[in-house]
Amino acid sequence: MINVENIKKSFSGQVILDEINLKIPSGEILAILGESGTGKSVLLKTIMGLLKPDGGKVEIDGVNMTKLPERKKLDLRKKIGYLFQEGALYDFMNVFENIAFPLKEHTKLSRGDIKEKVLNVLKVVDLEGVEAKYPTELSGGMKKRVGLARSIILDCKVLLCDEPTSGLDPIRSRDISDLIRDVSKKINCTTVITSHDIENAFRVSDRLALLREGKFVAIGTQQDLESSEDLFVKDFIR
Amino acid sequence: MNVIIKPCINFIFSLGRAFCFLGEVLWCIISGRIRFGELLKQIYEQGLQSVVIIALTSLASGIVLALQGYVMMVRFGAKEYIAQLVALSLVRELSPVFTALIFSGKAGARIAAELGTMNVNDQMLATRTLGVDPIEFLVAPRMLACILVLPLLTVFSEIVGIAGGYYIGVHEANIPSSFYINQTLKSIRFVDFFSGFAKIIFFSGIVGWVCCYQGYSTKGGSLGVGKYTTNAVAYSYILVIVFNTILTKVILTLWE
Repeated sequence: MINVENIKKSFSGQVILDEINLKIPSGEILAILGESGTGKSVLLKTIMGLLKPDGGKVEIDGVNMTKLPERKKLDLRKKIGYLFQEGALYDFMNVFENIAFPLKEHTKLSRGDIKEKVLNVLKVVDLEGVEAKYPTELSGGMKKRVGLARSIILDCKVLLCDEPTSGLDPIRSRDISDLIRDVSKKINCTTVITSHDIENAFRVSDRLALLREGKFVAIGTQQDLESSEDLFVKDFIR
Repeated sequence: MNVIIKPCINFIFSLGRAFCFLGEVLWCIISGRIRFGELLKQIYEQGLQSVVIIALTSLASGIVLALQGYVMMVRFGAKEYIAQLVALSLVRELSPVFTALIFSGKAGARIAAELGTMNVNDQMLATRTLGVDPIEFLVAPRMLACILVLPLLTVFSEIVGIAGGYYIGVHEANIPSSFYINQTLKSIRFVDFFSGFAKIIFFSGIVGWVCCYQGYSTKGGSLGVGKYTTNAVAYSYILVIVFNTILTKVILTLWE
């Protein structure tokens, strides 16, 4: 479970997150929506502990992430998968090495077991046969799927996805959205997705939260948002 | 007033961040969190990348020193001292400084550009999200490799430079080969080697620190990578030259 309480964050005096509150129960998929530059990625990075909030706290499974020293955060992050917009794959490693990296770092699995796990997860993300390729040889969609494979290889309890469908064509966007939903439900992890792609956000999430000027203007299911009387919500999801 | 105070405050903060970064890397190394696989890879890459250019420069330096020395010393009938001139100049001063400058322009620029690109492409951040300390995985092996490789390259540079001087001394100045070798070995005392070696240990730390720090703090996309890489090389050059002057004075005062 993720608990975000009164999170405040500003950059050079500009308020990005203004006392944000959010509770995400275990196993739920939540999509954070909002216009570009409203602080969706900032919120995600704050949840991950990559950014220190100016106030408030983030709890993951009861552990206050904001108070932890960096080494403890590194430990906690073994249970959290993070999918970057562009995949953020190591360009000096091939696909296999990229996905195997967390296993080599945090488990004592044998080479054979690592190979088996990597090939399995590549099958899950529908990317069989690309393990020897380097990130520069992959398309944007393939990079995201490799990034997803790397995020879930440790059977994470929490999955955070930053704009997983940005820059992809509609078919690939749907594929990635379905894949995230399938994977998330299969490994039963709490998932948070940031997006401004309404159609796919509806497709993938159990609940949605709409961010505007540092605050949530709506939190609820697709039906809740569609029946909202708020002009901005109506305009955004139209 | 703001025009003066603000840059000064910024400079002090930048310096503070750079020292904190150095502290983190040194703590990582001291506490034994060293990845030997990565370290060996970096030693191989940094050493191999610079060895040819350092060999060429050192050979040229040795040859030029011997040629100029011959022209000057023959006027005073002291051409036998070419061996001492070449050996002492290279061991005490030229090899440590030249090697550090060439290394920072070649391997140092590479370190800064690599780390900078990883930074702007979120690979550094991804390392943290994967529960791994980027200082331990990406920075410490590069800096440690720098500290280990540069002194070795300097010794190599001294040998190649002396060989260049030997060639001119024996074939141009017609000094007997055994006499030249004997004079070279006799001229280099422990303090001469030590003064050059102490300098290069210091320079290797400076080059590693500056280049890793610039790469680690890169921001601003591809333009940023260019800017911070240039900064890395420029700051390394300036610091090596400035500290060479200071160290030369300190060593001469203490040991001569």
